[in-house]
Formats: sequence, C-alpha cells, structure tokens
Amino acid sequence: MKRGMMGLLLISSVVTGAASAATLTIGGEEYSSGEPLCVS
Amino acid sequence: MHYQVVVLDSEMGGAMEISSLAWQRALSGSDQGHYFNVDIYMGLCAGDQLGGTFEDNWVPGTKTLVFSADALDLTAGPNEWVSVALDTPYWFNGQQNLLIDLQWASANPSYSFYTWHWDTGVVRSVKATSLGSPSGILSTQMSEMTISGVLVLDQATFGAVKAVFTGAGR
Repeated sequence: MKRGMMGLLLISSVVTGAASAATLTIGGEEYSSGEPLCVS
Repeated sequence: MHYQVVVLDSEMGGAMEISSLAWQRALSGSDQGHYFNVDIYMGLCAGDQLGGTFEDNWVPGTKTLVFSADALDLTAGPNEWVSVALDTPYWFNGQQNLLIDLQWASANPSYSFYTWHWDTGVVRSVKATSLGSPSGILSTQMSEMTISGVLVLDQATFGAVKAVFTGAGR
C-alpha cells in the first residue's frame, strides 16, 4: 500500500470514530430546596 | 429571572457541538413549569468562579444566543429529566470554561418546577430575580444538568495522527 493511501485510511478511521454523540452530566442530586429551574 | 452557571472545561472533556440541555426535576414541587420570553445564551468564561456582574463573566465576543422562545413549557415527573433543544447548536472549543446564561421575563406563579442542585464548593452560579438587574446573588450551588451534543477530536489527536502518518512512510 502506498504511503498516501495508508495515511488516508488512518485519518479516515480515526475521524470516523472521533465525532460521537455524548451526554455529559454535570453535578448530582443534592438539594432541591426551593430552587426551581431557577425560581419561578 | 437571570441565572448564570459556569461549567469547567475539565467537566466538558474537550470540544463539543452542544445541541441540548436538560435538567432533572426534584421530588417536590409541581410536575410542570411555564416560562415566558425565554432566552438562553452560551459562551466562554475565563475563570473557574463567577463574579456578581453578569456581563463581566463572559469572555468578550463569545456570548451567543442559542435558544429563544416566547413560551417554554416544561413537564416532568419526580426525578425525570426534561430537555430543551437549542435553536442553534453551540460550538464549545474545549479550551476554556463554558458559561450558560438563562433568562426569562416571567413565569406562571401557579407552578414551582424544582430541579436538583448540587454544591460545587466555590461560586459557580449567579442569580437575579429581576431580569434587568446587571448583577445577582452569588452561590456555590448550581443546577444539576446534562449537556448533549457531539464530542469532537482535539488538535492534539490530529497531531498524533499526523506523526503516525509521517512515520509510516519511512
């Protein structure tokens, strides 16, 4: 395999796996004291 | 209401195209909330903690309107998550902290939609009940939330790929 083809395949495989759907959870369930989605 | 929170770059884990936000309803309060003239902004924040003046917390030029609606109706059972899809996905560069800014002009007072909060240990939120107030009350508590979107490779990873490619031809 030529150098250029190898490079393209490598980059293609990495990029394909790199952009992935994600959901990040920030924080946890500690307080619900009087705080609506902020305050109504 | 005006509410700002800062999410640290270490919590984000890299660059991301953000498409939605979600909050988890707590056990008490109403199963719904109704908010009017709602705007959500995102941008960058240079510090790990917030100051009391809303506008001063933005990295200049990064404040971006990502959601705007005349009315926003939220409905969730206890401990359920409620999501808001952004009108415009926000590109977070992964290099600085993320500032999220919620504003609404009024809400239906018949409902109190409580969400879970957590204590960050440092000042990570600012809140003002008057939308026009330039400054708010500092708090170490902030909303628990989820941030959804697409995680993207950073430049270092592309650099590593380039190095492998270069080495492969030798």
